[in-house]
Amino acid sequence: MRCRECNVDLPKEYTSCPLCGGKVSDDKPLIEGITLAEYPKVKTEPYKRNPFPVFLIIWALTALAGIILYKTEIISENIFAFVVSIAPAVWTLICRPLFVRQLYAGNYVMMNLYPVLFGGFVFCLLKSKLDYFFTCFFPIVIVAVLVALMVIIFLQPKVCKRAAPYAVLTGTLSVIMSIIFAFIQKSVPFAWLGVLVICIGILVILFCKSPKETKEELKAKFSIQ
Amino acid sequence: MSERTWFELDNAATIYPYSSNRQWICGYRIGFVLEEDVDPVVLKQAVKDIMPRFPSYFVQLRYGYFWPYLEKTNEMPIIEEEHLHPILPTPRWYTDVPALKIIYYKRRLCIEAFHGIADGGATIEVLKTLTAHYLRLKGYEIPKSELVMEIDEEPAPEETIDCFKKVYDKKNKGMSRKETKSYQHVVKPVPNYNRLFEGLVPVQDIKEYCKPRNITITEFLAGVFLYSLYKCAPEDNKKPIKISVPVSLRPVFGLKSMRNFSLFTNIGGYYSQHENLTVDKVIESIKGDIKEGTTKEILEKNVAMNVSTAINPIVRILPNGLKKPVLKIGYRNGQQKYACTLSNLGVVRMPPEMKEHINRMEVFLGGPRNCFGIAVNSIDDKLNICFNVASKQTDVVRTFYKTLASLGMRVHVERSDWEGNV
Repeated sequence: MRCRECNVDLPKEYTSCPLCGGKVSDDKPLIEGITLAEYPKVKTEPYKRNPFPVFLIIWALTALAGIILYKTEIISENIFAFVVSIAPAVWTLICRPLFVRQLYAGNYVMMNLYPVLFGGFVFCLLKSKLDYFFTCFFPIVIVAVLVALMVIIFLQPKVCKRAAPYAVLTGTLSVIMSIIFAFIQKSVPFAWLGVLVICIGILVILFCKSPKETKEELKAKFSIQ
Repeated sequence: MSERTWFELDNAATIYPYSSNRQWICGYRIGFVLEEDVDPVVLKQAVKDIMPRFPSYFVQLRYGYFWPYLEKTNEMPIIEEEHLHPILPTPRWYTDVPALKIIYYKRRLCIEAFHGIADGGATIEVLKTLTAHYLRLKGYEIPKSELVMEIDEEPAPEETIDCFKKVYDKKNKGMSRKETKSYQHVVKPVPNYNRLFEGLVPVQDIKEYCKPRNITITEFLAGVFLYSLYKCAPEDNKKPIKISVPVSLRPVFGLKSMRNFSLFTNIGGYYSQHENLTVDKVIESIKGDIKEGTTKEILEKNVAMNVSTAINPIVRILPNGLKKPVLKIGYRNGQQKYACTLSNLGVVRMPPEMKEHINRMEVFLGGPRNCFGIAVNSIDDKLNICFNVASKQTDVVRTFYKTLASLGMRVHVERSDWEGNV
């Protein structure tokens, strides 16, 4: 088959030209011996939009509603903080796992940390108790997350090495926070030191369980090439 | 060689994780059309057998705190019968399967890979090894040959390292990145859709045209492509029309890299609609440009320019989150300097016992979904000129093939989603 308009050969199975859409002619092709390499008939799948912008809009509206309700004294600070952090928490707990194909438990736990911390920060800010947030709430939440990570390490040995970078980062944060609060409050910041001990404990467990994988994971994550 | 579990991204691959999204597919498809239908059971075994031979190929992209990297995975890649439009996004960081897919349909066997793993030159070697092993498992006699990498060979160290850093000369000052922006032939992409065109042209027809004019096949095809863009450009276009031509650095520096190891040169010029140019004049205007832009000296300067940026201490310690927007902007700026890419992979050599089971080879580029990509290859006496378009607007493709036919070449055309198939 040939298309006279485009002056090209076409497979004998074609009834019209794929370039111009015109009818094919029965003319003998100029190149012989070429067989059609078929493609399947496919349907275009619906375009799956990234849901994150929708989440941001929902969160912004939720926060705005919370501010209005708080300013008009309909809700208290506690409920306001809850409302502001509820949308991110719902997103990370429920919505995100539905969209992401294979979500690791550790990743799931770490993502939930942020809305909980944010809600706590807003609450303490409203109550003018930011020192309580940094010396008590923040480290306690971190400890809870690290304990969850330790459970995951034992339940999922294949991916346990992925906890190592989190332990290093959290340990570094706890050292910085301990130093800051030791200077500011002139007292021993037990909560942050507790976080540091747990981080060191996690790293010791990981290096005992799988030393090579843990070392390579840390090298890869912190590589500056 | 001690077994590595992760690899740094090579210099060329650094940009792909940051720029890749649904509208910018940093991947490509390379495949063979065999003489008989693909057996999926045998194919799966063949893939399993070749995986240890290419440790830096079957990897998944992960994000470190400063740079992305490739993590070796023992999971099997996705091997599936084709059921979607080709060259859509490959599996990414939230999974353990390698960042590539092996796709088959009837006689077609393809690899769709993420560009961060390797370039076309490396993927061709993987595909040849896979196909040779597959044919052996099917019971065909395919003798060992230096044209195909064997699965019982140990991977050479230069296959897995960043060869850009290996050839980088600190004393070389590099070159300027300044370049005029090109005319952009923008098409409106259709979501989750790709249209592939194949144009088979006898090599002899092209050689008969090129030899008296003393031009290479790449110059000829680049000239025809530029002419097609020129014919489809609006009348009031005042920007130069340029295309990007990648060059493999393997033969230049004598390194057999299985990662990315190629650079790009942009060629083209100012083509006014009022001049009423012919294709011969366009080809004449770029004659010698590819050779000039790809001398060893220029390539070394290019390597120096790219590597020196990447190893800058400030760039190295900048966290990933801050690098992403900067590199993305840089990449987008670079994309403005050419309209489309023309990749000529040349003649792909293999043993004759293997060639008799292969009907043709296909190469399709990914890239920005609002423009075209064209790739050329040959395994026997026919050149396969392949287009990938994410749109139903195919003016440039039609003009290209019609121009070839008007120059006296015999052209056979096929299309992936053609409803005119019986």
